[in-house]
Amino acid sequence: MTAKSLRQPGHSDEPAAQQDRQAIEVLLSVSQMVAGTLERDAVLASAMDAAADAMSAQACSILLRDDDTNELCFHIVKGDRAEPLGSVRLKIDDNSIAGWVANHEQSLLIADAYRDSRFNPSYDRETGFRTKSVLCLPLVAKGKPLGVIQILNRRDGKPFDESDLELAEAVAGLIAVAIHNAAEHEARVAAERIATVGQTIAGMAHCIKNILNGLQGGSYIIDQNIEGGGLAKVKRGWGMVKRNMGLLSNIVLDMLSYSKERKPVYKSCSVNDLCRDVVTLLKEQADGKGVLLTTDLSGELSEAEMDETAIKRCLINLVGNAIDACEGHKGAVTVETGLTKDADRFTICVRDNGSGIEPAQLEKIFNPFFSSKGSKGTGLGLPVAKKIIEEHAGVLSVTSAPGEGTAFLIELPIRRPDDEGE
Amino acid sequence: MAKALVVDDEADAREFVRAILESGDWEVEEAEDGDVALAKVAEVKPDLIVLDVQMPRKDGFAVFGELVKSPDTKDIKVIMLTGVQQKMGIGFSADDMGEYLGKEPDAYVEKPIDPEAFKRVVQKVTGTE
Repeated sequence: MTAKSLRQPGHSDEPAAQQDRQAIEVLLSVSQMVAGTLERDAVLASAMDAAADAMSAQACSILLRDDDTNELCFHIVKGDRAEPLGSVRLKIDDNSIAGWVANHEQSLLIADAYRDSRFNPSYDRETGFRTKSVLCLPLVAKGKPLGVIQILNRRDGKPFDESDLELAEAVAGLIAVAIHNAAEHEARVAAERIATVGQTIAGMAHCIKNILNGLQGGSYIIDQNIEGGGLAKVKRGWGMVKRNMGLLSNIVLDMLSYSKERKPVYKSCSVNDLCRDVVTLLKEQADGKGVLLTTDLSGELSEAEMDETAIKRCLINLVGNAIDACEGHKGAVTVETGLTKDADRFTICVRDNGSGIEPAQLEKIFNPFFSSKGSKGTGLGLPVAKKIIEEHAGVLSVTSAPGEGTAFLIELPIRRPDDEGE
Repeated sequence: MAKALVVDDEADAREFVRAILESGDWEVEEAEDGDVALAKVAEVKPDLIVLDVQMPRKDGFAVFGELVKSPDTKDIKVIMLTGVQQKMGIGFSADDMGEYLGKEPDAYVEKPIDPEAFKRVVQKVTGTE
């Protein structure tokens, strides 16, 4: 649409050039308002604000098509007209103004609604609003009808005229494109979500298959040697079976922790004792890989409020990772505790002198099913650890230098955050 | 006795393949990553390499690519161990690999390994039926 075609005789008290300039400003502001977001409800809300403003109208509503039922449904109603219309649905036929516009895909300019046979005054009776003049336009983007926009009553009390209709058509065009973009965006987000679910399942399947390989290997070795009495080999096979059962139980626990939003069950407990427990638990695993596992615990630190089971799970994952990172490196892993400067938070640092993490990988380590450990990793340990710490209103950070080692730092409040309640 | 090199980052998986091969009179060497594997190939001169695809640092395909490039190693029989990611088409397609490296591994075996099926693949690949 050109500025020239906007010039209509309607508002004859304004000079034509000024009218054109105003129209262009209105269209600019509408396009800015609807371009600000891609979220559909926000697009609809700002579109209605923009349209009511642009047209100096008392009320505006957008009705979107439901192609399954051949109906229009009100989305959001803006202006002096009250809320109850939210659930109203209209048939797409010639028995209502909006229905007619959707049916014929043509705009209507109605100077006095009460003199139009398609007008249904029951909405006015319900809401106490008095409809006078109506502009109703189809919303069409890329040839696809999306619904209808209704603009009610000029604020100056005069009926809408042809120049209003022409401006409204431009406004409706912008709004239709914004709704179309929002719908496409929604579809894209949904598709991405499905792809992510697919990748997650593939990651899980891969991980479980590796465990299955270990279990089958163990059983095969036991089978092969149980008759001949090769006891040492039977023991090796049995060790494989036990190790892989442990892995399976770990991945199930991690999957459960990762899959649901969980509020920590706070209890006061000793941070240093918790660290000692975890170190004792993983000592055998560390010894088996020739890794020295030690603690460096702060005497300043006593009790803190936390979900002990969850933090333990997190520490097991971090220390287990550190041990793996050190394998074959004359490794050492230290679990250190301390207080922050203002003493309202405590820290647990899991430090290793292992292989370190490349900067490019560092960004990805908290993504589920990203594992740098080949078939050994589940790819869930770190996402779970991070989730647990964040559920405690804490921070999990990492620093690493390839070839020198890695440090994971947990920082947690000593007291439970206020919004968790007492 | 024919010599085999088993390359996998996971000790349990190496142990499993070793047990299957030893029951079929193979002499087995192991390597825990791609670099160690390439060093051992030169030293051991194996008749067969069982190569895991997914390993940290140098993966199975990188190792295979280097074996193919060298006239000393290009004729060694290679069985690739693949995971479910490959099967789901996320990792690679065998045709792409063949085109990319100019040669495909002699066989693919999917984990978890079925010992009897694996033995048959080894016999077929090495012509020891």
